[in-house]
Amino acid sequence: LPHPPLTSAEFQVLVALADGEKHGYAIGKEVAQRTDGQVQLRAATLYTVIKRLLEAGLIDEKIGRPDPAVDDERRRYYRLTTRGRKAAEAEADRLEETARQARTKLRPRKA
Amino acid sequence: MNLADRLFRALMRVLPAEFRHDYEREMAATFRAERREAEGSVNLTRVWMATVADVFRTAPREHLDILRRDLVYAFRMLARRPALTVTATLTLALGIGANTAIFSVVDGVLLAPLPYPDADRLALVEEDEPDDEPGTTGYFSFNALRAENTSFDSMSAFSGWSAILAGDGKDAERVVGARVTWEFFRTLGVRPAIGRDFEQAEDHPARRRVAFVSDALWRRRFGADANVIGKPVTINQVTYTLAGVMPASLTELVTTRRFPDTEIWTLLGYAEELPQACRSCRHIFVVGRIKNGVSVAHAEADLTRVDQLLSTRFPSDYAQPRAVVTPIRDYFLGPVKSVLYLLWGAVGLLLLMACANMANLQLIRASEREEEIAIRRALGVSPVRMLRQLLTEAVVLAALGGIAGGVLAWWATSLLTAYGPDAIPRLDEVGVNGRVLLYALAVSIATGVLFGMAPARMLIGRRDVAGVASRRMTSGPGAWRYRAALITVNVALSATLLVGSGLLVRSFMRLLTVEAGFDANDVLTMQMSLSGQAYAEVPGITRFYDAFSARLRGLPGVVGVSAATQLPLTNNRDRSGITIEGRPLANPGITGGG
Repeated sequence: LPHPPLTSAEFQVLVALADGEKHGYAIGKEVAQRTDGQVQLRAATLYTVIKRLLEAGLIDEKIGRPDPAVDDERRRYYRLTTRGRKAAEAEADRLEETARQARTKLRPRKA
Repeated sequence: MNLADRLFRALMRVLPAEFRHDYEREMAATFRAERREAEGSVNLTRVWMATVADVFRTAPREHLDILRRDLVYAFRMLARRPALTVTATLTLALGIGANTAIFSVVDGVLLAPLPYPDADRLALVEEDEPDDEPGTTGYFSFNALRAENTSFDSMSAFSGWSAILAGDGKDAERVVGARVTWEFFRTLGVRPAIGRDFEQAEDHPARRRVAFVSDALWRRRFGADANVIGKPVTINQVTYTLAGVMPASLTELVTTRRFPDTEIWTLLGYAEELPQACRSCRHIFVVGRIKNGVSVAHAEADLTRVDQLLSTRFPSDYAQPRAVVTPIRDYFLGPVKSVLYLLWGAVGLLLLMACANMANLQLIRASEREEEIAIRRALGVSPVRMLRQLLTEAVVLAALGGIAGGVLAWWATSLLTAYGPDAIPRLDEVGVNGRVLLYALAVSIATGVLFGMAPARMLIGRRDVAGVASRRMTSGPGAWRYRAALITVNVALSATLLVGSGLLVRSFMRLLTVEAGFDANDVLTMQMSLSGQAYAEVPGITRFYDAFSARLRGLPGVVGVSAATQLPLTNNRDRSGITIEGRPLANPGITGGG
């Protein structure tokens, strides 16, 4: 069954995890950098999205090494599951298709 | 922990406890890193603002999400034990239904605003003489009060009237009416829906035959025909002009309270020369609108001053009169207020009993769920989360009871309005409205929390997982103490209600056997009133009753016949003055029937 469309925040988090596991703060930072600050995931949104993705089985978590960037002794690291990677790819396709359709429609017609 | 951390922690409390339990540390750490990175106060402010906004945006959705899951779970749990669910629903329906029904009466009768603008400035004015109860006043006194007071914007007098509509080809119909002075509707602040108000010049013995009808009477008798306004109609064999129709929304409380179901109003049209306007003829009611900012006590003192002047001028007609001013809300609703609140208290006790019963049922059910709950706790579900889940179940059950109770209340309310005692004013306006439904909802939720809280706390209060099979909270000594307390409360409440209602029945029984001072066995009564030109004057009335009594006396089985203006023990005194046969009237003036 194809995964239902993801919210923008969910999609961003999945994409942020595409190149390897990260903790929450690193996910937020990656998204902000990649989108040039256009998408800023604040703590409450970030962790509710993480919670939902965990429940849906699109990511999983493990307790990892401490990161000096975040002064916490125990960090939870999140990584993409196979299902999560597929869902993100499907979402990217869907967005691409939406954009293509929009462009066709918006292109000025020659008289 | 520094101030910023503490503030963030406080902010987090907006989010569901379960979510906080899982992510609070991580979120705090993330936020700390964000703050460290945001250099300069402008950036820091921006981070703070964005974070605060984000929390408030996220929280409702998270709470709803949990609620949705709890609801699904709760319904599944309830469906698993249908018999218990039905029993619980019915128990609660009784408690909530009775409460809602009585509240609908309290709401409609006591809390709903009176149908007049600035109704708290309207007051009944009564005359109080030593050794007597406050009551009706005479036209002579009313004229003096109206003219000489300084504390009322306006004042109007009214008395009862019996109107017979006939002569229009339809069946004759007797309608309860009131005769009022011209400023009556102006004093109350109501205007006719169709037509014009009474005029001052019409309030005169010769010009007084102008009438207003209620919307219901207009529809019933005149087919809602606007053309009848301003036309002549025959009332009591005399021609009246139909001046207008009162609004359908108006239940004219002042006259209707005194003369139930008043549907027609005409002018009092008294003059001081009339026999019925004699100084000792006290049979009219007075209502007034107190001036803005004037207190009831001040108005009372002002009118008493006028009364005292009358007493000085006519010492043989007045014995130290005193004015009694009662705001109409107290006058009409005061007598039933305590009874209704008492009844509300009684059904409140009934609901508490239902709650105690429910708590007991929940406890029994909880004993079956101990292991499930212990396992869920062992799996790391937080106690607050469990409490929330169990309370949701209780509130769902209470809501089911509330829905059934609402249906019951709707039915009970229609019964109450149809068969309720006449002594309760405005009972026909009582109904299940939005406010009543809101009350039912609030009561249901409060009930659910009340009976759900204690068992839920007991179930999740235990901390050790090892005790899953060995120590059962719901059957241990603590549980027994709790259930014993519930039973005690239940018995105490039932005893209170039982003793209360028992006393009530006993008082009523004793009231029935009170010696009335006369033998009421085999006595039949009937009420009648005479109207029309033939009975406009005393001799005609006397002739009728003499002839009528003689014919009744002639019937087989009739031992004696008598006529009176008031029946014994009807708590209504005749204050229309005394006419002695064969002696001239004190106020011979003009007379007029109708």
